[in-house]
Amino acid sequence: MSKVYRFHAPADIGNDDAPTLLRKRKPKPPVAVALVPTDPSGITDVKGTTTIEADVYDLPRPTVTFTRKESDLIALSNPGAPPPIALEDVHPWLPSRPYLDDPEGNLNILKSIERKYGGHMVSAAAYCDEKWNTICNSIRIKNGLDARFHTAWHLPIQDVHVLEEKRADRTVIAIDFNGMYAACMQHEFPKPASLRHLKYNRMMDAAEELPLGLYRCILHDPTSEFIQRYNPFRTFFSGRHLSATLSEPLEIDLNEFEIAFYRRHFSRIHLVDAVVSDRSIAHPLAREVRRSFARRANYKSQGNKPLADREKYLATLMSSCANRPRRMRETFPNRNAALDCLRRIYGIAPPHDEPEAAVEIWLQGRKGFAVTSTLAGVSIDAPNLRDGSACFLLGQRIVARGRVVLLEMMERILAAAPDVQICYTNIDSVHFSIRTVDLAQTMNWLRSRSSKEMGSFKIEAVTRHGLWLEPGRYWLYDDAVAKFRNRSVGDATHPFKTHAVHVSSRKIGDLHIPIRTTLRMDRTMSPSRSLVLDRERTLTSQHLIAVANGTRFADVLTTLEHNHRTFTPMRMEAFRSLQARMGSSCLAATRQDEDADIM
Amino acid sequence: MSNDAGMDIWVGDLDGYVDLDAIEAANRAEDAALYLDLELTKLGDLQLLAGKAISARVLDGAGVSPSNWRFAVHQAERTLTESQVWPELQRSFIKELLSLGRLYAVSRYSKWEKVSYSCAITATFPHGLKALVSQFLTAQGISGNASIRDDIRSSLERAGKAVGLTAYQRTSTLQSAIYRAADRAPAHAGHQSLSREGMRTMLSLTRLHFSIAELNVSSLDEIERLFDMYKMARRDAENWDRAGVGIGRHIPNWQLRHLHPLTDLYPYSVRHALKRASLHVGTDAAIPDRSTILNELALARCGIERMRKAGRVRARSK
Repeated sequence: MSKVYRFHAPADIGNDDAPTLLRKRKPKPPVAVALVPTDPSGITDVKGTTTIEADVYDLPRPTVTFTRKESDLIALSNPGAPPPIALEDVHPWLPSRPYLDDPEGNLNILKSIERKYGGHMVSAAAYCDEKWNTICNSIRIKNGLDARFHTAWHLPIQDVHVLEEKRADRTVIAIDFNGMYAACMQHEFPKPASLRHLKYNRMMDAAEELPLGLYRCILHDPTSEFIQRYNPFRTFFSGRHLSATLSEPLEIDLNEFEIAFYRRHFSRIHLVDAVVSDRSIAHPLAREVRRSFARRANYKSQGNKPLADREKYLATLMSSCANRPRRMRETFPNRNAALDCLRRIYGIAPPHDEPEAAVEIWLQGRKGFAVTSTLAGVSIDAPNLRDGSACFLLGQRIVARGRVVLLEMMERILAAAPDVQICYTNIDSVHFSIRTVDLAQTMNWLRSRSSKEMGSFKIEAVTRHGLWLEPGRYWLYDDAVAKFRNRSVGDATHPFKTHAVHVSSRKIGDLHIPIRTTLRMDRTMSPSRSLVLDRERTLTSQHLIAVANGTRFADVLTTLEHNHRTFTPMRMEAFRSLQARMGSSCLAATRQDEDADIM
Repeated sequence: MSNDAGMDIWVGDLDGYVDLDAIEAANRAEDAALYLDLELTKLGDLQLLAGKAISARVLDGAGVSPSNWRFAVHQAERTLTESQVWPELQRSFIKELLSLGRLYAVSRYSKWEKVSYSCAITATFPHGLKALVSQFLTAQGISGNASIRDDIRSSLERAGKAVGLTAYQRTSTLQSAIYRAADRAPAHAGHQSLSREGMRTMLSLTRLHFSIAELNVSSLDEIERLFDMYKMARRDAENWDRAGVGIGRHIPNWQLRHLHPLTDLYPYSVRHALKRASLHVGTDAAIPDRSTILNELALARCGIERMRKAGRVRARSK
């Protein structure tokens, strides 16, 4: 039986329904900042220009620049001092302004940004704290069963099915949901204080209505081609999320609305037990996020893109602000005791053939869990699921609802026209290709259903071709690139950047050391997917590695190595070939994205 | 006898209970041993450089099971270049090998030289040394005016770029720059009054910085040249030491103590790999296979992993 959870297995939560008071967070007083625009030779502030190596201990702190680039320049010239905060990093909704080689100009930009948007800048942490306090006021109490929502599968749908669509007789359409998570927040949620544990241990009836809650199910015999082809189930494998095979029964925690969806795709669903609530509540921020969406629409109609983007950004924060548990630290006499605790509380149970060195890599903090050897023994640093600093059911159900909305949309798209190929899905967008002869009819169908309403969708782009390397890396193009995204290396204007230079700052002792690192596209490409050319040799499809319960660790390593060796060069080749076909003309034609990549 | 512990069955002929689970467990253990044996035979001898090899059985005896070995090879595979062309393969191999043992060497250096580990780590970064120097100057009451800063920066650059010097010699460039700064700073009593301990730490960190920088090599030839340079420098220092000339108190073998390349502090697994590699290049001209290089990297990894585990056990038993 394969298992679909946040980690390997369910946690031992049992029926612990002890109530916990949700704890608010104290607002921190805002800090005064100093604006320090710069160019390679000097820092200019309101007092005038000084050399860029201004005595680091003299600089007023914390300092602020507008662009990342200025912040990096100052950090590199003043190793040891804390780097300035770059506004465009902290507030991704701010309009993008180029970095100028002239501190005077940069100061003017900074001043005008400050004048226009200063009042709208809130720190993400402060905003989340404030909204979390609203949630605390409204919900007040949760019980221990809420931790089950933490161990359930937690990520949205992100998948690539096709490498490139360049067949002459086809058209690519990209659609995008409006305020996906905001819409998902409008549904009912079980009341966190009245969660109770229910034992089922039986097959689900054909017409059974289930109360609100999270059900541990075993899904047997997938029946539809849809679920086989677009398998949305993932399993944790040594730090990666690989596909959970459908060739054996699947153990998974599903919300009642997810069961309603999947029951159409599986012949039998066995219910093991559940955490349910007889009382439902609305999301405490449901009204607020609706208002935010209305404001966003309003700003958009006024042509005020930055503030519209800001509302979008804040809505994302609202949907996830109940998901910020405080950390807990505990020390155990030995490694086995520590691992046993991780298994009981979080369901972290690495397979027996996973070498210790492999486990250590993803238990070093990358997944929010750190296991370190200390003199006193082995200590773990992990999120605290019990202390009332978070309420997981809110966030889990929002993301789960988003998955179902996307899957249902995919089904409708597949039914809308003959020979539809879904190419790419990412959280709230779907890219698919159809035969160009069906374009008019499909567009009519899409237009009749799309709107500007929250939870509806809009048509983002219609192009002749598309290239999808992996989630977060795609290029939709005709004669020029119309829309693209190049995760971690790209920017908004250059579609064919292959690497990015970052200056990150590491705090060692009391010194901040700037470290220059280069991110290369080929080095950051995931080896989790293979490429397969179809029989007609016209389309290359992508396949995520599938693992079953008994899959041997070494076999997955071999597949990963093979994928890395064979398919990363193929992807880069497809990318370079597109770049060559586009020439340099695409730069001018590229339009900036309407919506920043925040949701 | 209770039936709680396992599946016990009364067998009349034996006039006693037989624990079926125990039999099952024994069978399983036997299966596992058989499987391990099969794996070990399948892995057989792992080819290393200079015509050497290590058998999977020996490795298993040393605590590196086939699955640990497989994972070490996987990690090596991820970092080693795909190229089969020797200069490129060599470059990737050397870089990876040296970076594998670096942290370990830095930690040993910091113990050896009695400097704090966090400062030692800081000194390894390109911009870390600059931060340490400016922190030191500020602590000594030398405020950084533009000319002092320029002098420090340019001497750091000069020391870094100079050809054919050991880290020890490069360090003296910074030393004189700090002295100059102390003498020039208006509010400072001159280099004689710099804190002795602070200066010692600073110079030690500077030497570490340059020792790491000089290991930024891409071929075995370059490493050989580095070792030769150190050999020469040590010979000179010996002569110089015997002559007993110099200013201040004579401390026997003072220079000699500091004339070692950082590789001397690297873990044995890395040093052995380096030795085999230079032997290989020195003796036969056959270009090593990529898979041999992978084995070398994996073996170095396993060696370090073993050392870390042993260290943990030691720390706990203290």
